Amino acid sequence: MQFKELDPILHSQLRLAVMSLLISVKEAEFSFLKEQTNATSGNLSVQISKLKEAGYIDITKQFNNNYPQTICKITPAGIEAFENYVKALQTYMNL
Amino acid sequence: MEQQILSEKESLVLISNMISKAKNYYYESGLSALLWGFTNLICFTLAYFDAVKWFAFPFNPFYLMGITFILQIYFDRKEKIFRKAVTYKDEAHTYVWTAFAISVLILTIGGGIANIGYIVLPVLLLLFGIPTFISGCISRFRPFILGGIACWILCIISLFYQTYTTYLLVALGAGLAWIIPGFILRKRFYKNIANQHNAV
Repeated sequence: MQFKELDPILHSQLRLAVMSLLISVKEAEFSFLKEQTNATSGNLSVQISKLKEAGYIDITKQFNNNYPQTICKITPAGIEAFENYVKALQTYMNL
Repeated sequence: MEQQILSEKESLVLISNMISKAKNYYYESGLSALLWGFTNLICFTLAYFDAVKWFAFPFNPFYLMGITFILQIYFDRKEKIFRKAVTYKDEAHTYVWTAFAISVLILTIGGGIANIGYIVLPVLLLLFGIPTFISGCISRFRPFILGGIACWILCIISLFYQTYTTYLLVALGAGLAWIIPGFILRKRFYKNIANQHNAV
């Protein structure tokens, strides 16, 4: 059996956690990702920027009733990368 | 959560945990259910009083729905601040209730112009049941499922009472489908907030 290479962008704890959350919802606010992952704001901010640079997520900054909001949404490229990552994982796990 | 490289097994466990967390997230304050439940209860009860001439109303009681519509927009905007994620279930709810609102508008305006009489009320009860039942099934919230079924039973009964009494059946339908579930959702909402505060 040939092992597929794991996507280095996704193969790290926090980025994978963020992608797993975003694949399950239509969109999520920064505070939701922070709460669910228990990450610090700084670390989460850096990691979601990396995901954005890879084209895996879209980030929209907006104001809602004077409250600043950072909305994150997975892109089609992100969905494809996530699916490929899971398929690659399955080859390692013999699933 | 630290930034570390995971083993393949750890990765799968993490994915499964996060998907489960995201799926369990919901934000439902019950405010919309209460708002529309009480509006329908009041409007249809007033319409009944008007029809039996207990007192003459200076305006059509259903105009009150316009005020509720404005209040709904206001509360939606306010609640958007507290909603931290939009799930695919939320999206399904929005589509179902939008289709319902459009159907009710077509029925009531069209029915009013065509002057089809009390038959509009059983159809309205039938329509009340559809989104309530679907919403209950999507969110696995039994009071909505039962509320939807109650509306359909009231619809069958109302087919046999084509008089102004049907207004009261619609008012009862609104109470069973939205007010009771609305209070249950509200109680659950406050309990969740209290739990979150305790966790902090």
